[in-house]
Amino acid sequence: MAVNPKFTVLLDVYGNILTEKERAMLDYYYNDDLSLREISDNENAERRERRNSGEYSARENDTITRQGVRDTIKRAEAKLLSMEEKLGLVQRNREMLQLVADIRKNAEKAAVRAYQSRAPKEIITAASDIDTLAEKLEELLR
Amino acid sequence: MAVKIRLRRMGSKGNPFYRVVVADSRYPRDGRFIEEIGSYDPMAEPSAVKIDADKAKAWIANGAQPTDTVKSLLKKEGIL
Repeated sequence: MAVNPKFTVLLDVYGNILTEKERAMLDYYYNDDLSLREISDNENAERRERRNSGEYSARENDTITRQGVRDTIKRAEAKLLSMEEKLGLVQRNREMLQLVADIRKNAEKAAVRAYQSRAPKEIITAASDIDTLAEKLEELLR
Repeated sequence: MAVKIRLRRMGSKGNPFYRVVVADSRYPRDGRFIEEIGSYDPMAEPSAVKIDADKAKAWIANGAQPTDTVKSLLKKEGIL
């Protein structure tokens, strides 16, 4: 298993639709590179602490297994994928970034050419303005 | 106290980037780590891995456990 940038980015964009628990586990798994075992151990230690401090009463089944963590993560991943399928924000963002990069490349080229061919100053300024604006757009999209 | 070699996410929203760090195996959220030995950029095409091979080998020889993810990066880099 290698880090899957796909899910990392999906978690950034759609993380809010997940339950708190799902989000936390995906975060541990993808952003902190914890193993399923480590996530379940940490979670169980946390629950034990809460139980000991009397924050909630002990229930049966009050531990989570490695498999339980895996199921939670798989379910959360499916939610993220279905969100992307419906909204496509990640894909859209990627396409927009690509277009903005093309705009910047062309604006730079135009500015250089205008300068070299001694074009009127407004043309040079307009070309470099386009580049500046596109750069701002790029920052917004990132 | 076991020592692990794992990735730690850096980078902005939607733009992940990882450090390869040597850290205590327990809950690593406080951001402490013992040493940074490399970086991994999964968004680059192809993904960019930079790991200090000597340090990685030394840590592993001293019993540090790489996570599965780090192990696969080390293999890809020909360090393991």
